[in-house]
Amino acid sequence: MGTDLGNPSPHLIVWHQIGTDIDVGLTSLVQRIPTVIVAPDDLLTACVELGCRGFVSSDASANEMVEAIQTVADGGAYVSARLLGSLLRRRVDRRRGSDEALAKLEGLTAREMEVFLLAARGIGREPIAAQLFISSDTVRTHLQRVYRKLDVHTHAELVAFAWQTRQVSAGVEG
Amino acid sequence: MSRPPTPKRKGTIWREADGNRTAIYEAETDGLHMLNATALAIWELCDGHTNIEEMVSAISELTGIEIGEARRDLTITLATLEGLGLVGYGDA
Repeated sequence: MGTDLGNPSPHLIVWHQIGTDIDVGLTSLVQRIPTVIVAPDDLLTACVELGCRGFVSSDASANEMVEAIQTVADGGAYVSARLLGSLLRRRVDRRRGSDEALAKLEGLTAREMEVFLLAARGIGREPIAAQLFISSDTVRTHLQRVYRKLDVHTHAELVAFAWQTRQVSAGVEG
Repeated sequence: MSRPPTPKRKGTIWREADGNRTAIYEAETDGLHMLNATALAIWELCDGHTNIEEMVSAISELTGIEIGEARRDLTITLATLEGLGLVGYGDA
């Protein structure tokens, strides 16, 4: 559904989400204007990661809706009370996953880290060997160790691991 | 090196009194306690595997408040829950 906010820009938006497909337009809205999203509970994570300032369950009372709007309008953040535990649990689990991945990275030697970073950027074995002044067979050996230490099994998993641990960023590097 | 404490909750959710409070019943003390949303969220995190530092980081990250303040608030809440018999430490 198109959204014409007109002029001037609103100070706050209350978005009533119907269904599970979050409108693409909502993403840009949320980035620009404090937004309270009213949606089913299972959209909590998606909406919070979108950057909304408030999330209210679809079956929330009118009082709770008012409280959410007032809180966000005052510059705060609001989540339906009963969802707070779930949100915290997700944060703990996600952070734990990141910590475990970083611990695996710390197990790499300096040379293995070099090979890992180059491979994660899509550079092939021969160019890696040339860049590091080692043989192609040595690169393969290093890569095997990297795969084992990081517990990845394919190149795609290795790239995903590099993303997760922020060793590489979006875009193509020449 | 000592590891951060890992609290474990006691009691069961009896019922939601209203949108913002929940009744927790603890059989050992035969106590019924009303927890607000924040206290309930902390109580739910106390699964015996999540340590206090993990909780502090999650709270700070979620709310944007500083680590020190999050740790202080959490410590107060956990102390209150422990006093009510709703949280224990060690082999529970």
